[in-house]
Amino acid sequence: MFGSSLEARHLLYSYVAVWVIQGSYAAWVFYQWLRTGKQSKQLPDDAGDDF
Amino acid sequence: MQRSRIFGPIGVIWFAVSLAVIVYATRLGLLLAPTEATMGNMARILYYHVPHSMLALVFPYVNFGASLCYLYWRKRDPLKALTADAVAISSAEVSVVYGSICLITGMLWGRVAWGIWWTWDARLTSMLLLWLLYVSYLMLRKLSSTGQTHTLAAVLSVFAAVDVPIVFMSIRWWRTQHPAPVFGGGPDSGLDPSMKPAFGWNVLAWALWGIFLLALRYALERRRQEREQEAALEAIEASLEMAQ
Repeated sequence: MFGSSLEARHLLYSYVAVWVIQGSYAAWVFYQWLRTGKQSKQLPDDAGDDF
Repeated sequence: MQRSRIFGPIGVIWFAVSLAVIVYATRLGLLLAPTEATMGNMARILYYHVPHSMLALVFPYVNFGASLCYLYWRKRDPLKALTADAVAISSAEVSVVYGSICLITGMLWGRVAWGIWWTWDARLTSMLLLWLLYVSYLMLRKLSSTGQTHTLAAVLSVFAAVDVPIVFMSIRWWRTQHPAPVFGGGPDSGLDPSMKPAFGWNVLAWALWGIFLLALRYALERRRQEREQEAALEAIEASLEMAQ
């Protein structure tokens, strides 16, 4: 299926593009979430603890 | 305070189920669905392109609803407004991710099917405009430093949502380059029953994944808000100590 024709290459590029974009965005958000971290003070509305 | 429950049972299970459904749906679309009669294997791109395009029109409405809530609550209940604002920025980013994939996979398909990467067709142009509106929404939030940034972004979001029905209806109102609607497009429209499982599973897979991304990004934004509030409280305490 993923041969060397234009059709096969574009099919491969499409699927890879989707995985790369979705995976990169998820990894970036997860990294930022870890990096932001949590501090010990509690907020009145328990912000950040509701998922 | 305990650590955020993003990796609590619901988050982990949702992530695992999303990945499993994506793998299953991809296998159906790539390997098990029959080869389309006229387009051949190129039609398999549509198992990714169409679900992403559909969801690229759904997440903007989450952003629209959250922005309306923000505008309503911003003076009445600032804490609820912060929650709405976190939903708004999360859904705007997910809209850009899904919109980008819609445009990229569409161009890759168009290059083979039409022989061109792009044309100023009504559907393509309105979708590009929608993508640009949400990119500008994110840039406004990132680059503006006035105290009214969130309010201005919420107003922009309300106007951006107007483009969503135009994108959806564009292939019904104007018949140009983009294929006619597959669902609800008249007596000759519709999907072959043998292709429905691959299509349905891909819609489910990317919807589950999109909700996961939305929740993860929301948790990040709530953490950022928490840090900002704590920094503000510390600054107030420090200024009070200096005044004494």
